[in-house]
Amino acid sequence: MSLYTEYANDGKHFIIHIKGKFDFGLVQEFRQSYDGLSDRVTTVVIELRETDYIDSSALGMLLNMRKSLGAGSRNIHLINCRPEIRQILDISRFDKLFIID
Amino acid sequence: MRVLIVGGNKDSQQELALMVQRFGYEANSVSCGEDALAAYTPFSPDVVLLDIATNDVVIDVLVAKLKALAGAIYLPILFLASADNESLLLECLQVGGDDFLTKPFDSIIFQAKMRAHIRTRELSQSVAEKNKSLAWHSEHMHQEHRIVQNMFSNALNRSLQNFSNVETYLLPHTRFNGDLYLLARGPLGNLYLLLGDFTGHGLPAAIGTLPASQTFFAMAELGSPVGQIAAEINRQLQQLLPENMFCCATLLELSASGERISWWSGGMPPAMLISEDNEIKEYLQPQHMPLGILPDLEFESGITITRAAPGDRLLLYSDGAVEIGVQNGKALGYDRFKQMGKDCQWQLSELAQALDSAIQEVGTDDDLSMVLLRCLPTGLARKEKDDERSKMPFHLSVKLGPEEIRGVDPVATILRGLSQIEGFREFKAALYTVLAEAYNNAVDHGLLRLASSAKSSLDGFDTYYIERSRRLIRLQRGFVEIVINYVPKDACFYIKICDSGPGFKAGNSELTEYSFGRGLMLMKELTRDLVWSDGGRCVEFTFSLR
Repeated sequence: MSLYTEYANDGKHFIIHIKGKFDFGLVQEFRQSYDGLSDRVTTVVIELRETDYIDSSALGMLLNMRKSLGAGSRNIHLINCRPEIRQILDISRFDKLFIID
Repeated sequence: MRVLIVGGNKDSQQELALMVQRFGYEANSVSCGEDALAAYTPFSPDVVLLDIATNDVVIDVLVAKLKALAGAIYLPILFLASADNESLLLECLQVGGDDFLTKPFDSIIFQAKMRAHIRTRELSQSVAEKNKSLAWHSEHMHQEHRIVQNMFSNALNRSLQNFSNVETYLLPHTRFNGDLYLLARGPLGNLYLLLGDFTGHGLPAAIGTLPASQTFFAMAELGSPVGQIAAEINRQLQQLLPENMFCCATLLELSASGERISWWSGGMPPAMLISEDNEIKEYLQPQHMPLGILPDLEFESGITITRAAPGDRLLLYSDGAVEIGVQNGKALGYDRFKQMGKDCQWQLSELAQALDSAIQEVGTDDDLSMVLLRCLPTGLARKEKDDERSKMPFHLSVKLGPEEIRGVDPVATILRGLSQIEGFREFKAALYTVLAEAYNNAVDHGLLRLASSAKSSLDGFDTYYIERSRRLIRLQRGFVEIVINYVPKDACFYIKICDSGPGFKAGNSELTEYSFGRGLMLMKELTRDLVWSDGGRCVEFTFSLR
């Protein structure tokens, strides 16, 4: 299982955990994971602590998610990035579009 | 039973000895006090009959010496005197004698008195025996407690010590603490904290802290999410603890930035998030059953995420803090606890003092723990270790046809191998990214002839990858070749990736951009000397380990 999701107890945070490789292999699964998100969700959290690798297709998937959720109407947090993953997000200036923590 | 007869004349000694023997006791007669003391140890009497006419020693000194020899065990000393000398007898009793018999002796009364005193002595002997065994057990228990205590402190020693953003006040009710406080650093510089409260207090309550703490430390080191740590501790405790025992707990993870608290809480009083101006901003209400109750499948590992502003403080506490005095109907209660906190502006040391005074007043019968966490950047991020880099040069060349391209992920496979070589691990994510960009580019545009412009629309992105797998299944011919050269003296990988596709065509804007887009930006930033050759069929670049 390289992707799993959960709602936080308060229903406001929706958390997507990505394990191992984050690339186009997950393209459909990732897209489906945030389809029909509850209206109560104010923040989507991409949990990257178990993400080993990332490439530009993952960046594309994240940007698509942002578009599809209505850019800016919901916060998207990219959390627990390892330094190497953080470096790739920084190169792509993702800190302007997402909250990276 | 042995009876020591002291003093009196020969006749009366003989008469007494005979009577005593008739009662079934063994008799030994001595004529003076000094002999009595000398006979004590070899004869070891159970009763002493002392004729007050014994005149070589002062009676009270003899009585005191005999009693001292008997130690903790009751040695009955009965005085013998003429009936007309009863006032003297009373004096003797005052100096430590236990009873008296008057001459001439009435055999029935004599025997009854002897029996009564022997019964008391036997009782005293059995109490002494029990005391001795009790003392042994007590010493034994203390010794075992010391060992166990050592084990507990070893187990909890792994907790992060002297971390300036956390203050604690831990007051166990007995030697063993049924409250559990653990602090650990995660691999990303995150801070893990657990405050737990096992049912009851003392050793039985403390036992569960051993497996719980070991699991906590192991999983924190791996950087596991708090929900998973809670689930694992629950699984262990549920197997280990009897049904009526469980562990209320709050488990949290503070992000390295200090801004995000991810928490799981079951059965604990609500932790309070306190702003810089000392207002309670939020209660972390427990959402779950305590740990150790629900079987694994029914366990709920759901967490809550709370944002904290810089300088916010989070106060966690066990119910011992609000239930001071509950055992005599004078429980402190939440309202007073909160008032006390406000009164001292949530300074932990002052709040602890206020609670101490409350304990002085009304007492407590539970462990008490408070932890105050400052939500600030943790400063715990670990610096990458500068491993010695491998000095062995190598050359790796992989040529993949349609079958392999369909079946394996060559980049992941190569990386798995490379990350085993010393000094490469810290670069593996970046190396993966650049290899994956170049390889996917070769497959997508070289072999599968996909146009990356298709990706630009929302639906196009999915369609692109659907089309990609469709074309990949049908791919008949072509290859991708990956060549990696490691040159230790340069601390560089020289990498070349070629494909059998058509390559660039001049004037094709799609291809001059080489379709990378975001990928190209990553390549440019993460590598150097990025060039294309063989009409755009090959890409070459250098990945530096410096």
